[in-house]
Amino acid sequence: MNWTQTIKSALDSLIERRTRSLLTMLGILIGIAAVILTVGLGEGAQNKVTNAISSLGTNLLIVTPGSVSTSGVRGGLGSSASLTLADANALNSKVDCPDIAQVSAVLQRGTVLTAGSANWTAPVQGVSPSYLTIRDRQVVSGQAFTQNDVTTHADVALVGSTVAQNLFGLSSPVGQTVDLAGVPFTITGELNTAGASGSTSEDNTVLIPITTAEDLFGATGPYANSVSNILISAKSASSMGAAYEEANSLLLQRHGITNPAAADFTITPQTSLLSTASSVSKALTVLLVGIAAIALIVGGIGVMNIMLVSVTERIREIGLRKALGATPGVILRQFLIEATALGIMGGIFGVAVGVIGDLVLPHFISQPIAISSLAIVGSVVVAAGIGLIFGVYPASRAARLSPIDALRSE
Amino acid sequence: MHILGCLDVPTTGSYRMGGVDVGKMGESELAEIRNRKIGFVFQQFHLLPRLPAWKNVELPLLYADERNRTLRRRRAEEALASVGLQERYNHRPTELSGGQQQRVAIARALVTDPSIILADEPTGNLASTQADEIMGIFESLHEQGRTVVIITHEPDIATRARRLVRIRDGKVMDDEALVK
Repeated sequence: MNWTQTIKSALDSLIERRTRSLLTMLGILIGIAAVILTVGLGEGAQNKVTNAISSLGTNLLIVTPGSVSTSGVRGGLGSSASLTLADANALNSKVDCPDIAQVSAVLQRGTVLTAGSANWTAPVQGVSPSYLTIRDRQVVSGQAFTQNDVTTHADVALVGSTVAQNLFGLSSPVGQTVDLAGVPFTITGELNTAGASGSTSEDNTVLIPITTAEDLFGATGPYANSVSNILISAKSASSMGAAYEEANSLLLQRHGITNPAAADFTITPQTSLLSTASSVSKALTVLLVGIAAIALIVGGIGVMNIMLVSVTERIREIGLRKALGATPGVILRQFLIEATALGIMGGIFGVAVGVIGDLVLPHFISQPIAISSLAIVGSVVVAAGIGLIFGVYPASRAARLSPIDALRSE
Repeated sequence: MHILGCLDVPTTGSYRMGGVDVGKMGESELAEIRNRKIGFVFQQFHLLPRLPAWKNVELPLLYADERNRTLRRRRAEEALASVGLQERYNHRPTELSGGQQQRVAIARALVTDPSIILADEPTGNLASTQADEIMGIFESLHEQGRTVVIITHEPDIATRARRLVRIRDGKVMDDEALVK
């Protein structure tokens, strides 16, 4: 008996007992649908987090100043004044740091902004023009400031949407004047909305040329000539490591530090944030898939149970088939195919239900769901495997039946 | 009967079929012998109720690995015709009388063209006219040169054979040739 005939015969007998076959499949169906849905939910959550983080800028390294100890009190990260604009310019050297694409120093202070009668407080950041590329920000109206503005210490500013709304309401901020700490600045452009990263809103900000910022905030006091942090973008995600090494050794050298453990700065790659966030959502996915796996095992036991009933019920048929010349192998195959078919069909219907759920559910919950093709293919394979594995015992029982015992039984 | 039909192997003694010791064979080899050399007819017919007559008859050919569908169907129809059921090849067993069902079973036993037909109480569940019909078929099979072994409790069935072996409590009582 060849495979096609065996498959046909197996399917015939499943259709013969269609109610029972459908109920058995239901067990697998629920398990598979649960897998599709939970993997979809997990991936959706992961994509959301990944997008949120990559919207901060891709391939990003952030250099923050190390801590400073004043009379034995350690100030924590960023409290020292170890980073300067000169550091940033050195990092921009293509010779020393070939894997670094762009660099922008950032000098940030919370500042009172006044425009006419309105006032608002927001972080004002002195940056290079490359800041916009590094952080993946766009100017939606007006124009960005240029390197020339940096060189000439121009009093120009770019505003985020929150700042624009609070100072100018619905009218366009472009071309208006805003006073920063008493100095009038011309607004040349408005930034796109970027949402929040962590607890800080990326839209509540004012960007001015770094040189102007140094004039404004940095000329005197303990932080004179220092910058808040330096942003570095690597050439690509794969050169992050190399860029990190280059920046690290260059800064150590510039700061005259021989022991890397004593560095007065810290370089944080964005990817470490990304991997932390994705490992959290992966843990969630693993948990959900674990629950789905239990559902699948229960479904598999259902298949085994129904196949055992089927073997007992068809004991005379098995005996007859053996008397007519069916070998144990043929009988084994037929029952294995029946069990596997139950698994595959349960799997396919389960995928259908799961995908429909993936499409419908986001309308009811505020959670994005990604449809994972890997989960779809994988779960049909798993369902077939479950049918096969849980079919082995009933099928081998059928194959081992002695033909006379089987024929005699009533 | 079960040992003759290679459904079972002897625990003591030996059974040689065509010069081959069946007792030493594995399950698959026994299955092949049952398929090629022996045709079974049972008291309870043992037809598969959901299959039409010709599909029941076709079954041994499937296990004989006959790949050609048209050929299988033709041989099944020929076998049904040889027991006078060509009209009913598409009927399910439930739509047939007991005698017709037994004739389907005989067609199934014949389809692989075996040299031995083993019939276990083939008329036990049939009315006497139907039993007579069935015996007629067996007789013509015998005339074609096949060995037909019939097990029966009924003396008038038994006397239609050429050789009569009387068995009581598992022992051969006597073995006589009946001259016709």
